[in-house]
Amino acid sequence: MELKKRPVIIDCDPGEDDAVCLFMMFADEQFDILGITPVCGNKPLDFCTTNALRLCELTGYTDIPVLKGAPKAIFREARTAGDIHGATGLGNVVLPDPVKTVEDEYAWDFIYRQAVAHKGELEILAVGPLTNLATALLKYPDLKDYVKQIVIMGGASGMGNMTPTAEFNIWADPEGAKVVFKSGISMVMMGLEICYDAYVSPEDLKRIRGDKGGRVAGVAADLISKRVDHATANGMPGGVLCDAVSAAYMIDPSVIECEHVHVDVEVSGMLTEGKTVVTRSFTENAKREPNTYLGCGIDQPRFIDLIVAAVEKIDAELAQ
Amino acid sequence: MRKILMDCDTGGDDATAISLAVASDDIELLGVTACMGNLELSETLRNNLALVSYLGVADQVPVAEGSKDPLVRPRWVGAAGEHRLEMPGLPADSELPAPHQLDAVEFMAKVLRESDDKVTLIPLAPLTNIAKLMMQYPELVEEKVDDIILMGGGMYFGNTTGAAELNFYADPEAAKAVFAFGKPVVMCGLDVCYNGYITQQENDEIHAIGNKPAEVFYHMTQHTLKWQKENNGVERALMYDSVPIIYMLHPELFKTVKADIQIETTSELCDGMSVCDARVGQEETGRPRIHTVVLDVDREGYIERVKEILKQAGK
Repeated sequence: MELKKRPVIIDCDPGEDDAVCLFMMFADEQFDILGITPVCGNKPLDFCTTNALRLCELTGYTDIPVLKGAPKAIFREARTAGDIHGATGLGNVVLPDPVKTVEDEYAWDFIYRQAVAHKGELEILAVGPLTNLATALLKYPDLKDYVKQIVIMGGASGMGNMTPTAEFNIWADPEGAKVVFKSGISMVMMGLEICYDAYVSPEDLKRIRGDKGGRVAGVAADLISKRVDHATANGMPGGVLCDAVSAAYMIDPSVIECEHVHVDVEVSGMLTEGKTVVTRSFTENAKREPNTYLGCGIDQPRFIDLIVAAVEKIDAELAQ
Repeated sequence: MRKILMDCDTGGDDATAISLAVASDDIELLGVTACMGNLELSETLRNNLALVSYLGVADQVPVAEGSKDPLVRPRWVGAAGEHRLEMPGLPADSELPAPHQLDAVEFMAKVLRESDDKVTLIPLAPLTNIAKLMMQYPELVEEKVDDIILMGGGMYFGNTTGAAELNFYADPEAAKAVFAFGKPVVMCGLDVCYNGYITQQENDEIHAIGNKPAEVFYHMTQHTLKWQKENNGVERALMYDSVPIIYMLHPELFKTVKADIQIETTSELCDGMSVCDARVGQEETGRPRIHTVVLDVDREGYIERVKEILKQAGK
């Protein structure tokens, strides 16, 4: 008997680490990937949408719909990560322009439609700014009753990367993130701390590239290599691949240890705008009901195993 | 010999710090100023007076009355009402020495003015008194204060809100002013305080020392140990305000990082947060990293130093 697959929508802004996240999700047979909803983030929306289409074609997963996403944060002008992910958003990797085209449906309408159709079983993996999800929640307030969980890469419990307090995905749309954390949907947050723990070392990079000359393995390794070089040059053990950490949680939550905490998003502080404010149970004057499982520890070797297995599987499928 | 001024919202953990300062052969305690914070000002002032009286130093260590309210915000009260230090042998209210005739800010300014040596500030309360001193006597602070070693803030988390620690939360603008003054500050915040705990057995060993500072340290810590055991099921008391004293005397026991520190005062959720920038490999803000965050401590070494200092009393 075939097991029932987990219906998933992937909301992303590809993005080098988004690409690896997509490979991991595509390759795992426990998921029924209903669609990809791109969002303005690492790059402007058009870049992210085109990259999502390219990555579907690269891997042969061309039947996954790619929807129309949000071109900017809900209340603010667009914020992107400049050229951190290279000129196209996929680093030095050059992929052909896609033949596949974007669907004529907005991300938020698609998310709601699928959530209702799957009667509360839908899971959303969101690894970019949370604008699409916030728009869906604002347009369809009952969406919260139809989503099983939202697993995000975003935020930080300590220091940020864009500012001393804010991580990029939340900084890019603080109000959007706040809407999502306040929705009442069960949240899982992979913040910067666990992403730094899930580094890819030079040795790990060799394993990901493999020795079979696989196309997807090669693309994954090329996307990661600059990060590994940069990190090791700065005295760190390896490069970070933030979005892939959230994919690892989706695939096998036992790889990641979580603590149950309250998270809200600061939207107005001069120094703290875009900070995910984590409140733990020992906080004296501000007891808060936990709403988020915050990743706090990862089995790094098993994380790397998941990436290696994913790219090997897709390359084997393409060879058939 | 380090000359120090302590600003306290006493409070059990402040009392442990004062007892260490009084006991130490290496510290000359020039005075204690009271501030609101853990408790209302009337309580912290009374507790400071009772403590110097009990420790037998009321003639050498003046206690001055400080701020009842934060700089610009409405009154903050950690725990309202009457809160005496919980230990036997403290003097009755009728036997208390009088506070210094000057208020906290004028008293600190006088001490700095008259001191030939530089003075270390040990703020253990909301930074209201210290911020006032800095804005009213900037040159004195610049010339006569060497180190500022405080308990407050936290690099990775808060305790009063998710983002802010109590001393900074109680008066965010004061904390902002102190870190923006321009002098390097050593921040002994929640990061180190949550690592610097003391166990029941260690506290019993301190009790066995048998002099008055050890009595104070023991009873204050015992109160926390009892509370922790009853409420959280753990036999550990965090050290909080004694950390700056031990850091001042034995910095080699501590792990620290240089950081830019600013205090948030304009937010919905993060007011009073000590925003620390010690990031590696990220875009630099261009702001100098003049402050020090104390992150961790050799806990056993810390307890040994506490015992060693308490034993110096009355020699």
